[in-house]
Amino acid sequence: MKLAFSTSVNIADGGGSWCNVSTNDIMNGITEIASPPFGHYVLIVEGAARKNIGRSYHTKNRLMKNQFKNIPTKIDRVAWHIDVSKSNTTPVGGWPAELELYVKRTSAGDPEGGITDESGTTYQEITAVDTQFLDGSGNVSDINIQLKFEGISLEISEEIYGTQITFTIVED
Amino acid sequence: MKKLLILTILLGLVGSLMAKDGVATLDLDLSIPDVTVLSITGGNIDVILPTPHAGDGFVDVTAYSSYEIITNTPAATTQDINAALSADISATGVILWLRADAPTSGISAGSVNISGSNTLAVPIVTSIGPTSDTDLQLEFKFVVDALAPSGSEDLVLTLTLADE
Repeated sequence: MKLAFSTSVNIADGGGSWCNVSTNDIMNGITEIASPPFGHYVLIVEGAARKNIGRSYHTKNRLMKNQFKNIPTKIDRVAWHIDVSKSNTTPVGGWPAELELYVKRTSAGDPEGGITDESGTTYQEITAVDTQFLDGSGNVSDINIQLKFEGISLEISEEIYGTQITFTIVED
Repeated sequence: MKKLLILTILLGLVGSLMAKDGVATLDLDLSIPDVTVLSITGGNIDVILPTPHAGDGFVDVTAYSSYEIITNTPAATTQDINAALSADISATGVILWLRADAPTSGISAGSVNISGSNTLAVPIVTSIGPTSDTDLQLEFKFVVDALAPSGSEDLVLTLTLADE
């Protein structure tokens, strides 16, 4: 029998100060801005390593008679993937079409090999629709991710462009 | 009591199975500032009407300067550049016309009379959207409409970018 635990994903949030574009940035013609690549946003996958419990049996030992004893036999690394999507919160009129948000991972995670080789290593756009970002198995920590806004220009008027990014882990 | 305990365990098991998907969220606010730059880059102009030759009248004089404009005004909110002199021209028989090149996003009003613009600012460029342009020409034309203009002016021209 397998015990059912919840696989979960958490994120360490280093804050959004990198999202403050300056007037000089725009006058100098920057078109994109990215978060620090390491240690700023870190994903952690937990609950994906499970004890596979051995079959219960009756002991003949008198003291243990009628007792069930479970013997852990191995650790299963549960396969999973993480979807990503966003929901824009401000401004009310929505984002300009040219303003786009991307995500990629910048580290292999711990333990290495927990994430499938090339999974999530190149920037992919975050849209309103859940899209697969990473896949792997077992518990993995220290998955550094980097976010990037593209499409910044004079065409983007003064505003706070707010969004909520959602990472959803799904057992495969 | 035993049934209740079993039911509780079963519900707990079902609950844990249903909660197998986890979610993490992250809030982001991208802050884009207002960008509005309008400046005269071509420097001051000094105009002295040349003394006419005997038998001729005064002639018109044209002088040039330039300006730059950078703005990220919302596309739905177009802007104008309005020109205003520090005082209306009081020299007798002289009219000052100004023509400004239009930026990439905008429409020049052509040559407009700004002689009385201290009293009422005059739009010289309209319908400006997001744009970044430098070295746009300002053409000042002093038109003499009297046989004997007189007076001396020391004026400051102010250009203002304002929502339409």
